[in-house]
Amino acid sequence: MKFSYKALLLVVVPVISWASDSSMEALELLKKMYSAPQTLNYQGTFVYSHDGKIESMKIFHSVGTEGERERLFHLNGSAREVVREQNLVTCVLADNKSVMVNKSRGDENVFLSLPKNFDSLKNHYSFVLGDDDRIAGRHTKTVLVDPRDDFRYGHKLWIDAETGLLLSSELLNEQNMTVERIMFTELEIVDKISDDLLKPTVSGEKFTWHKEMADEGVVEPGASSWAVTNMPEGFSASRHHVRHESNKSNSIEHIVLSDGLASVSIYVEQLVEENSKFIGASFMGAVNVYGAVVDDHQVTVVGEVPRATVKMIASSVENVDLF
Amino acid sequence: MMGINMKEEKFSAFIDNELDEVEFDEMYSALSSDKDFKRRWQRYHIISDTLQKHLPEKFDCKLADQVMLKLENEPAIFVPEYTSQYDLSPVSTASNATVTTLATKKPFFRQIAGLAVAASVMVVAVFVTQTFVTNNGTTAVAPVASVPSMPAESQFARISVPQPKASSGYQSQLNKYLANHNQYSTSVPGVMPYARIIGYTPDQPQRHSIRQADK
Repeated sequence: MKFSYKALLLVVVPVISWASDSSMEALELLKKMYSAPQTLNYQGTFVYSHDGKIESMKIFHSVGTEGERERLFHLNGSAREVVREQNLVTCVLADNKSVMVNKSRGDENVFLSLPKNFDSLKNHYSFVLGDDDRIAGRHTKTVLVDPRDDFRYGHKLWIDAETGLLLSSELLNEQNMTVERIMFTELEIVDKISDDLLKPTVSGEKFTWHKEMADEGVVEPGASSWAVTNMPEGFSASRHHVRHESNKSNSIEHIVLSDGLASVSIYVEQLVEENSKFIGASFMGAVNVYGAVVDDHQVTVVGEVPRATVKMIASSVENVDLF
Repeated sequence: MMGINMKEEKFSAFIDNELDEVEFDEMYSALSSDKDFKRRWQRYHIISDTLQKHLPEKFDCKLADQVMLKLENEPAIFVPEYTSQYDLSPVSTASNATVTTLATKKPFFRQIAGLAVAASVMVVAVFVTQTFVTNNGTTAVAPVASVPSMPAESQFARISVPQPKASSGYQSQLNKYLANHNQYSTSVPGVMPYARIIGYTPDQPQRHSIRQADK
């Protein structure tokens, strides 16, 4: 039988076209998912599962002239709340008698820049449209973000077909097992959220307040003696800052690496006490941590990436001044 | 043909291990050919294990399916069949007719074997993914057992060891790093970073401290 290239094209072209369509539709859904919270008022209950535990939480989300405002709180145990408004994130932890205040950097989300950086992202991830599903009684479309190597996590996202809201997400490790999951069990889109519902119920009086490490500024290329000499392909430094803690005299160098989707932070600080060393691996849910000591400095690498990735990066941090 | 209600009753009795030998064999055959029943069978066992706290923190539900799929695609290996009690010469396996006979005569046992292997692998998957952090910083795996009806405590007994931690002075520093890094977590929009901050209850050993897993 004579081999027909035309026949082959008839099969291959539609398959490639379908794959491309699937990726583009997945991409469109991701963009819709990012913009949905910027236009919708909603309230709901969701569960957060990690390390074999399930936590139940409530969320109120409002959009107004002052931008997005949000309050989410734990439904069980002592009061633990997060309030996001304008550019501040306030975490109130009643059982810990502490309040943490950080700046919000929500506008730096990767999906804002899609599809501009899609070409570089697709070298390391595939974006595939999955099956339709139902979450919290609502019709959802699913998107699978699958890493092409074992140095990054995958994502499965359930996106509300009507509004684009992210109703469920799973973070998948290198064995394709779920490390963390968020899932709405009830969601209500409303016209308005009352201001009272956006205020924390815990005043924070007599609590210890922790403010974000003060940013002393950007480290210009070549101005730092610290360098990361080995990292997985696709990662590059997206930030290099010097930070300062109010109760410490030493500064902390903070380098952020990103592949466009996953991010890893590297903190380098002078080792003050011998017993405050941290060497080795730790984890909290999907966040892996690896500590190393280099030239009397504590190096700590933190990221939502597999342990092998934080270990590789931590092991490659060098004080280039020595050479 | 078995009515729907009868089938449901039999399935229920099958799950509860209340069928006689013949009925049990029938249900095994039904399970082998009915994907829906197979899924329900798995689901019932997962629910049962969950209620009895048999389940570990993580397990792969799809592993049993994958094993079944592999078995279905695996070429059958035929054991020579003896034609009579006294004639010990095997029937020629080169004969297509013989192969057909064997294939139609023995699928039931092959299906049972498939189910049994898949089920046991699922149990193994449940076990081997239950890892623990030991006090010398290495990760240990719980001993593997494979008898589903054993009491939970004997199969899934946790290794009770103190959780190694970073020094107390450094733990608070790690917490600040985690909170700070969350601001740069660009992966997926939504509540995940914030849920992580408030999602640790006081009775959890890792609350506001992270466990040292290994080096």
